[in-house]
Amino acid sequence: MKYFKFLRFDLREGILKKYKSYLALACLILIAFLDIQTKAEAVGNKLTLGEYMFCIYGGIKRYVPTMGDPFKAPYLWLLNHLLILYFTLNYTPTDLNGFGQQTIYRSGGRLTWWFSKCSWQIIASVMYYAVSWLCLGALSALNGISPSLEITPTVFIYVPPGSGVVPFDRLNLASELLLLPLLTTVSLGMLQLTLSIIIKPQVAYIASAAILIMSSHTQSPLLLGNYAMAVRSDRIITEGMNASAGIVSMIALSVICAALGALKFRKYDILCKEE
Amino acid sequence: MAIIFKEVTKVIGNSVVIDNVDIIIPSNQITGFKGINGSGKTMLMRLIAGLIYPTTGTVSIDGKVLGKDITFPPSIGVMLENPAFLNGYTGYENLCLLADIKSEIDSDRIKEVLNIVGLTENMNKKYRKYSLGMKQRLGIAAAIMEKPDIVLLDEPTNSLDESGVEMVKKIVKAEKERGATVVMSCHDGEILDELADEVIEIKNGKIAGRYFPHESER
Amino acid sequence: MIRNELKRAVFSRTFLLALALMTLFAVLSAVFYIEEWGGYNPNALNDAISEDGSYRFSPQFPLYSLLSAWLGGDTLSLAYTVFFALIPIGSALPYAWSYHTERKCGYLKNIVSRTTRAKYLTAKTAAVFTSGALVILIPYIINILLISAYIPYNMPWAGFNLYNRIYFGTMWADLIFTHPFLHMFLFVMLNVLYGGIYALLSYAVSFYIKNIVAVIFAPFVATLAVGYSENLIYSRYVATPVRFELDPTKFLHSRSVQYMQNPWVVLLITVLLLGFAVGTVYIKGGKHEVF
Repeated sequence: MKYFKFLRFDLREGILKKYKSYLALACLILIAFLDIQTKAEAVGNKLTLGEYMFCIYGGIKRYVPTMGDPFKAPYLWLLNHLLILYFTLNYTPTDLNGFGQQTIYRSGGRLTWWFSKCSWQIIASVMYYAVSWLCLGALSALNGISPSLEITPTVFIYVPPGSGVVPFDRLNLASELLLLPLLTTVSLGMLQLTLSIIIKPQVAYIASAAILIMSSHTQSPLLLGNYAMAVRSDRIITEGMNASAGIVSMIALSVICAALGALKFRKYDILCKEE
Repeated sequence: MAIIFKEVTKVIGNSVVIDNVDIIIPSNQITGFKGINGSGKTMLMRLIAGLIYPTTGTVSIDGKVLGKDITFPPSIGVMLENPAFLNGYTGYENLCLLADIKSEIDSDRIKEVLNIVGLTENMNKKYRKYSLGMKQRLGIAAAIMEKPDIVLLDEPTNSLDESGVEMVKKIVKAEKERGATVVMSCHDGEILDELADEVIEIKNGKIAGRYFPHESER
Repeated sequence: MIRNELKRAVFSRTFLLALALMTLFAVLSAVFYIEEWGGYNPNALNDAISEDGSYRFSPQFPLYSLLSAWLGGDTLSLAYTVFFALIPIGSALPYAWSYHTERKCGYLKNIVSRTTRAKYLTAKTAAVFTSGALVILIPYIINILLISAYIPYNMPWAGFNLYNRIYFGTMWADLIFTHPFLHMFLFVMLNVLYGGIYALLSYAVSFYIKNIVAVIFAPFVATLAVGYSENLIYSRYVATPVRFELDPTKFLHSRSVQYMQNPWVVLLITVLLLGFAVGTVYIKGGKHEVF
């Protein structure tokens, strides 16, 4: 029961009261949508909702280091993930150094607080995506765009896939566009949460940023950000990233982080730490 | 609730903040910790509260070892260093949020406690607008409102005026009368000598001495 | 006062952490090229690209040069990508948060009662700038020293600009063919300057935001936003084929990563950022009430 009390508090303080950050993300989605719409209308293309999402969450094609072709970071993709991780970075350490100290000992157990924070991290990430999807859905509806999550090869004008494209006419990429980006943010958020407790929030965010930047540069199953790039899916390119493997890896990472954090937090010295 | 420290040492980073401390704090007694800044008084209180655990040795509450048998003392109220509350809520709302966790008390008790600490007039003011003294009073209110068996008060008279100091004295005596075990630290030795049944002197994380201020009266 | 602030800024764990972070990627970039170009055996590499003691001219060989392998010339490795992306974070980590912390814990009260605000703000600004600049300078020095130990120096061939990514009209492009080491030096100094500027930007942000994490990472997130906005602006509003780089983490590179570096654009952006940072510090800092 105390877990639900903690969670209710976290949902109120860590989500409802952070409405400005949701607005910021919605603004990003709006700007991205308008940009894609302008480009599409300029050449008379009618994109589906899935294709708009592909442009936002697609990422960048597999990069092969070649002289004369420097790497160009996928800013929109990076912004989407790093903004959410930025907004969720500071809540837990602030609580632990402040009001949380009053609530932890009253709960009678440390893990109640920890698992409440893990739950908050997951729910907050889901909420950010929900806001993004709602935004996209609303913009699509207002502009008469087809709500289908299917993509066609037309979308490759806007997000080039590179070499080795698997031929298709229409492809439903629901898991690559909805589930995998969300899971990536959730798992990196959990990693960030755990590192914030074990080391420092600043180090945690640097780690998240480094993983995402490295993922955008190098295709590797060890760099989890790759699974969040729909254009690198094995349904789009040969030798691409397998969605099932991604789902398993990211859930595993989240669980491991929650467990490691719990183990560490059981003996953690709760002090008023200087920033 | 008796509190027993058995060969407790605490190392944080490279510093030995508590060094081989052996003390028994009997239940239903006011125990005072006396020492200069940085002597280890707050660390001892954090050890009792279960917020930190000893590097070696054990701290037990009524025979149950903290960190092994129990995570936190089952019934404790804590006011350590600068108590932290939520800026966007009033004093009353802050206490309600905390009381909701255990759900042992109702709003009448919260109002009663706010009256005891002299915050009735300011209970509906946002915490961010509280003065240092008001924040201190709210911290004391949070520590005693649930009538815990152990009350830890770290420098409770800080930032308080004369009436505030008198208020603290009344509260400490009332808590003892209620049957609680009170552990308090104070830089003002006179207040400790007036209130405490036993005073433990701490120096560099070690016990430097102990005395019973009222022994001559017995 | 300046000496104390500089000491606190540079002789600290956070400075070492930031330095370690940036140096890691600078070293990884060097290792990439040393491995990639067979630099473990510099003599063999040298033999392959020279004949009878003189440089064997070929469009391929000028690429195998210190001038292409150092961090500012690297356009291939993952390490250079991460290094440039993390410049805003690495430079802010050592000391940019110090004003925020001093204000929060009350230390500021001790200062303003002992010296003028102008002196304190000047000392703080100098220390923040220096720490940010050093965190970028030292990794560059290490990278250049490492590379020059393994990869020989050869002049790039102007006709191979598609691979060199040095276009005529790009900032200081002529220097690489006449004074290549001056070119390298100028870009290193530009990076060092921006190390200091990014640190100052974080410091300036602390006058607006009361959250230390936001203070440190705000310039990084803002830079990402600039990177995205730049593509947006050029695709929608700028029809000309010549597009100038607006994102500092890209124009700090000595090669044109995406758009061309224009010296006037770089100067304008530098003046604007420096003006904002220093202006905020002195105007807001002078007015800030100390509670």
